[in-house]
Amino acid sequence: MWRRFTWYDVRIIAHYSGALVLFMAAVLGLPLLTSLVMGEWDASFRYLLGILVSLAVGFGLRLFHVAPGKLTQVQAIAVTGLAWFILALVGSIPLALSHHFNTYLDALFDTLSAWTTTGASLAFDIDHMAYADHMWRFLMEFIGGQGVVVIALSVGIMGRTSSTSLYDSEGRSEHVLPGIMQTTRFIVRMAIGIVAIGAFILALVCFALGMSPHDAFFNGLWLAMASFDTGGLTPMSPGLVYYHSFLLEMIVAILMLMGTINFALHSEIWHGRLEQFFKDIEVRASFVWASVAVLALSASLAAAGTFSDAATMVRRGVFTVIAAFTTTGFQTISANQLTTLVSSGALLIIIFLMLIGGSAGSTSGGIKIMRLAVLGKEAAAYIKEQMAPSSARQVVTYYHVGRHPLNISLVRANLTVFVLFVAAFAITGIATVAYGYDAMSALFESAAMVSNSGMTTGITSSEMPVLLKILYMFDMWAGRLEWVSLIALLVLGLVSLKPRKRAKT
Amino acid sequence: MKQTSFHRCRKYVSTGTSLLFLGLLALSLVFLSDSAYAQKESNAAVNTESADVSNKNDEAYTDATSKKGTIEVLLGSDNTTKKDSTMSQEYEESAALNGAGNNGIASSTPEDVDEGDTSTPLDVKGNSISASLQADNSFLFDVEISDLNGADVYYDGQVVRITGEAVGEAVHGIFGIGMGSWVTLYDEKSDSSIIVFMNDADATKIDTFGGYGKRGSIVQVQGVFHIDCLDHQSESDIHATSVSILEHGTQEEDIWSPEYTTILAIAAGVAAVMGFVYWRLRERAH
Repeated sequence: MWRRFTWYDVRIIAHYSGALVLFMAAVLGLPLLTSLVMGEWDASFRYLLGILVSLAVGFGLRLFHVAPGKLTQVQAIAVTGLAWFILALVGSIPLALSHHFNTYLDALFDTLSAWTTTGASLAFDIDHMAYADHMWRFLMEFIGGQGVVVIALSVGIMGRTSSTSLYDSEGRSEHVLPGIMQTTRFIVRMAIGIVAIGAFILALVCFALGMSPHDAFFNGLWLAMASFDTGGLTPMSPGLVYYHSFLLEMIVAILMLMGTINFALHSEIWHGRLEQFFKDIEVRASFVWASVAVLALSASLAAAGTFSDAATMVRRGVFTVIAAFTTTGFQTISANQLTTLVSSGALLIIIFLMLIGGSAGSTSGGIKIMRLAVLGKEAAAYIKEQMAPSSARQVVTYYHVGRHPLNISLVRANLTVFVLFVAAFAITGIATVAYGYDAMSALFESAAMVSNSGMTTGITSSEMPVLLKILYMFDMWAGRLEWVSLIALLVLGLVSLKPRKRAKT
Repeated sequence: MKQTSFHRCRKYVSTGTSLLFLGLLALSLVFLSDSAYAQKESNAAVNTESADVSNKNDEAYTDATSKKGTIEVLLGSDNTTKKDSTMSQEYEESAALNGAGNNGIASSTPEDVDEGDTSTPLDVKGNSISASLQADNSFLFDVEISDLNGADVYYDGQVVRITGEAVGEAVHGIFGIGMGSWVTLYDEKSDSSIIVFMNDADATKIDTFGGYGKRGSIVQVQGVFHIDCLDHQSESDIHATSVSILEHGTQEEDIWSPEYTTILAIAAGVAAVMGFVYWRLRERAH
């Protein structure tokens, strides 16, 4: 029998969701400040309005239950699952009021894309977008990359009583440090530190490229945020190609790779335990997978006669592998080049890279390399078991911040996520093809949405069908929560809406 | 959006029109060449070639050679009103050089050629057809930026002329002033942009780059389109050969509308009430 939500559950969920909306009101202060500094009065109005609406909605949700107790695990899943959508609904108001979106749905798509670090965009004329709007979009990517709940917990806005269940419900079951507050604060400080260093270096590069000091500062900051948080948005319409700099692309690639490393491993490296990094199953599997992908993609591109010299191969081929593998989605190969110059074989490799994604417990999306490594180990153990005597008993272990046994519950959990991702990819692909798009482009776009990569062959635009926009939004939302949480939430919601059967007298 | 039915349909129609146009031009060329032949020296042998046109060509430009010299013929198509000034200038310069100075060399204008008598086959005795003279299909005038964004390899290496708003900033290599600049041109109609590589002197002609509150200079660029530029590690770009500013940029005033204050006051009132009620209830609960 399925569990149902009670009215009390709904009130508790609303209360905590309200806390997150109030947190967003505070965060909206940064784009407001940007607009005031840059003299963008229209944007100042929009962000001030966004703050006030957030406050009204946040307090309104808090009123559902003024003083709640500790969250249960199911309530925490609901808060986390709904938070991404509620924050997108309210957070899209300043963007929707700008002149860069045809409809509110387009603004909502962009906001959800930013929160979930997908980086796909339906905005038009972004070259004329206000600095404040860019700041808001990149800030959402930064917060979304670390996890909305993680950042809210780190500043103590969610209270201390329910921190563990909330933290776990955001798909981050690994406790980097003993306490949840310690863990979340470590994650946030580490992210801010890396982004600050990255922003400084990138700003210097942008300045050397001939940009004005303030543009160099903003571009450096935004690119650092989008790279480390594997978001993939860019402030200019040509994308990363706008900068025409190999050095900048390499710095961005390093930040992307840092962003895709598990936070627990960041902590180990920070504490000087470097051997943990090299012994980790995920790091080893990532290295093997990325190497195979680079070789395969290079061979495929070279065979087709495109991007065949070494320097071009690094800038276009290797960079694309990193961008797809980390699910950042930066493109140094334009959408047009992808469909006209790149072979379908190379596209297929990029699709696989996006679907598999980066490390678990990092900012990247996709199935996650850890899950495939664990499933691979289990498959090997199963084959070995078939050949062993019936009396033999084997223990399979894997190394991830210490040695752990491979138990059946872990395998089941990983298999479930794997199946859900593949199913979502297939369904989205079929739906896109049904709208008349080219099959390879449709599969590419589906993989990009399901894995929160955001790369595009040109399908994702404001002209795409509304139903496809909604499907892609659901993919981004569910993909960020690794499907299980959102599916469970939807099932619970549907079951709760179904009338109870009367007991027979 | 790429390759929609509409785009495909438009592509087929434009290709069909181009083919039709090509046929008409080829016929005109034969007719005009023969007319020129008939009007000029009786022993002149005219080498000519069929004009091959692309789906964007408005006109074909052919060279005709004779044993004694060159006859340059500018062939106008049915829409010769779009004749490019550069080509006309080339024609005039060629006529000035060849017409008076060289004995036996004649220049002819399209009007002269049109007055020809009967047509004569090209393969008459004495004619020699040079295979080295290829049809000039490298001009694609007034291409939309969106067309180049969706261009296939056919467009690669073509001379194009585009018009767009300069946005962002002129970017050059790291401390690479003097080595050329990249400028992004944006087309508002199709919401598409393209990168143009130009020399620094041309880049300095642009007085304003578009951004928030700024409309950039409207720039017309003629240059060679590369779908994967070999000079710039396979970027898709245009190498400008000429850059001209059609309109200077403008600043757009960003003002605080009185309506903003009213809307914000209402929103602030609602937020304050919600906050106050929550605060009171929470105080009571404690």
